Amino acid sequence: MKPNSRISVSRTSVSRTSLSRTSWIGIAVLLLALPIPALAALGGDVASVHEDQAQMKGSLKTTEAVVFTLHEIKSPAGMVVREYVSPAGQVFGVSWHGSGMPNLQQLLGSYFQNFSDAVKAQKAAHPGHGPLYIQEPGLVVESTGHMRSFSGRAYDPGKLPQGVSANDIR
Amino acid sequence: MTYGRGGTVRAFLAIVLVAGLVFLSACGGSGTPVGVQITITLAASANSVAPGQSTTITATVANDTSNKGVTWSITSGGGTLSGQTSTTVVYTAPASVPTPTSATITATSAASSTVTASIQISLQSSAIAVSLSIAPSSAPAGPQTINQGQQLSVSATTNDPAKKGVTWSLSPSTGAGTLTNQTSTAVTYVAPGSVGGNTPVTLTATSVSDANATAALEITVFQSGAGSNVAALNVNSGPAGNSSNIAFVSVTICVPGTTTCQTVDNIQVDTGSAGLRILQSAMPSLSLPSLMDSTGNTIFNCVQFADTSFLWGPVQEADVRIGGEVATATNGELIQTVSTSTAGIPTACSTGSGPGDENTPTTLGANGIIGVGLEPTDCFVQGLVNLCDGSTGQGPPPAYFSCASSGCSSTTTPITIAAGSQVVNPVFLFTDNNGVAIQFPLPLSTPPYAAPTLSGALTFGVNTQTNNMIPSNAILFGLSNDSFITTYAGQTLPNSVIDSGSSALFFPSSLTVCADNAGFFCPPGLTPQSATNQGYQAGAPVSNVNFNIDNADNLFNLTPPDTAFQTLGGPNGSPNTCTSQGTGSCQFDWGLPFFYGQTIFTAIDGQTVNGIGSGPFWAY
Repeated sequence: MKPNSRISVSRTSVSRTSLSRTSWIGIAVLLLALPIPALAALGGDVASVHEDQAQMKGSLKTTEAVVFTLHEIKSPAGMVVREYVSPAGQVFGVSWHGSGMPNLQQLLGSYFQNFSDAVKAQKAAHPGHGPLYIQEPGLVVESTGHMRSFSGRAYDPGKLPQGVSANDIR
Repeated sequence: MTYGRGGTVRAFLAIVLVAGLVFLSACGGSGTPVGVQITITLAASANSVAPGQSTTITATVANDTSNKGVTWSITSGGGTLSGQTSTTVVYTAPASVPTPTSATITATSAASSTVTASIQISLQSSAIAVSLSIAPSSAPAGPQTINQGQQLSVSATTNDPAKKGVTWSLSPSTGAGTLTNQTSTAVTYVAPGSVGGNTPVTLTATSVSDANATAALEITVFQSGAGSNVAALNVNSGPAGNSSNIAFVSVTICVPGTTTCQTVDNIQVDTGSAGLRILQSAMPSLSLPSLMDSTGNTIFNCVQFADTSFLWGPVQEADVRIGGEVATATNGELIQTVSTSTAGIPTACSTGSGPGDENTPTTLGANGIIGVGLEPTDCFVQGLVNLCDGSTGQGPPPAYFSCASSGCSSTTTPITIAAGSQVVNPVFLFTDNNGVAIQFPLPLSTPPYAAPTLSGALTFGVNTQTNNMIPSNAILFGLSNDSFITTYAGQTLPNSVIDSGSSALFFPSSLTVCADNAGFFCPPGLTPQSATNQGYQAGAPVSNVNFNIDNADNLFNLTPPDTAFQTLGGPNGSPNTCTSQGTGSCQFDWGLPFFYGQTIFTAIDGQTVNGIGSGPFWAY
């Protein structure tokens, strides 16, 4: 858990406090009707694209927390993708859950090749199934679940905004 | 090759239709409006014929105002045409067809040579076919298990015109038992009186008229516990020599309703999925009929795994046999044949076609996966909720796609599909159809708790026979969302599973991950751990589990190399992140190492279990 160790306890607690004070349901929810906020892949610019939502043909809910903005897309098949955007407008983490896997190439953006290479290396060494745990410099990917019930998250540990813990991405 | 019932019906649906535009006014025509196209539709009285046999092909021609009909030709595959008229022809197959193939017959509009239509006729092989059955059954035999000292009566049938029958042989040449009462059509196999452990034996019948025509029966001799509802399990390095902690079984696949079969070994037994998926490359001698929809499109299946890998290929009809159990296409057995090609896979399945297409023995670590888990098909979740047939009001998951037989495009979206067209958990169609029991001995009772190979047993049915009764002292785990509750290191993990298809114990832990492979734990040495398991039913008892996790790098470097590791563990997300909403890391995945040293029962959702009620549940 080397990347996580870079996150100080105090920052974690700040984030926890901000979240627990408001709670997921209680967070000031801004359902932005117009214009639809832009979304991006991991590491992308929030102002750049609507690609994820378009690709998922999904509905969008945007929630502003104290230290980041959460965009939640829900597809017609029930797939939920959450994108965590820093105050600087950068996607620093994504998470998902649903009965299938999301389009990881879309979600991971410029991180996808690194992710793909890492998975291939793990699988080449030891084929077989189970949850996925990728821990590369600048990229952590966790994927778990069972048939028709998957969840996971990906983030760049070096790009977490001040006051955000990796554990806020879920 | 002979198509069974379903194949013939669907072949008729696959009528080929090719049309071109004909501008009759330019031909000085007879008043047909400009732009109306002639179309030709072909149908055959039989879409599959034996060598030298015939089928009548009929053309239906539309918009042919000159009423000239068609002319006929053979485009490929050989054979002859006779009795030609403007709308019918008799096609006769070649007298000798060494291997199953097909012929293409083309009809060309006599009014416009640019308008053609073609139809494919399957040509059955003239080679002598040998098939084996367990007497007195007339059905093809799947892999068998018998106890030491016991006997098995086997009979052979051939299509040999000379009716010379077969000769019998046994391998290996020593320690495999003996053959008695040999005739040209039957034999009695006598197992060794005593075996050291599960002992594989192959009984082969060879046609007297054609030495290239053989059929083999895989028999595994057990010390005890064998039976017609029992299959032999093996943990070894697998078809590519790179596997570990994968439980393999052999499965016999037959073209529906025929004795054209192939036994495929090294199929991974997976209680975490539903349905049989076999690499196309592992059954080259079989041509199974694909499932088609009413438009003639082929139905493709996608199964995704949590590690972002996937399997993709057409849904096909097959008869599936293991021991005395059979799932027939007539009763609805559908499998996925994993495509050798990586083309034509929708992004919705591949998730971007990065790491995951496991369509080779090397990448899959197996020749296929037989999902014998909690649900009847790959679309159901607990409570027999079908996620793929539209009944939930939500869009379908990325499981089924309707495309040309050559494949889909990257943007193809999943379809809704009825339960009867979904890839089936074959156990659901067996005689013992309510679940399975999996049993393995310990690899080694002392460190490093590992072994080069390990033999076990897969028993079909739960409380259906004396050999699959849940012991009275076993603990039963009722489920919610096909999961139970594990507590570990102060964490309550409500989405936990028992999954023989997972190659280690995967759980959220502060144990150190390996520097060279973050998928496994590498503590300094053997590290004792403890957890509890509990079902969701009222008053569910608690099972205390003590286990060890060892350094994976050390385990993988043991000499000589081992493939069965009881102490192999790996991370399942991050510890202490599971929330009450069920987000975060909420799963303990009790993989194959958990099966070592005990018997674990998996009962199928909605199926009755005598003395208990109904599935889904786990028990051990």
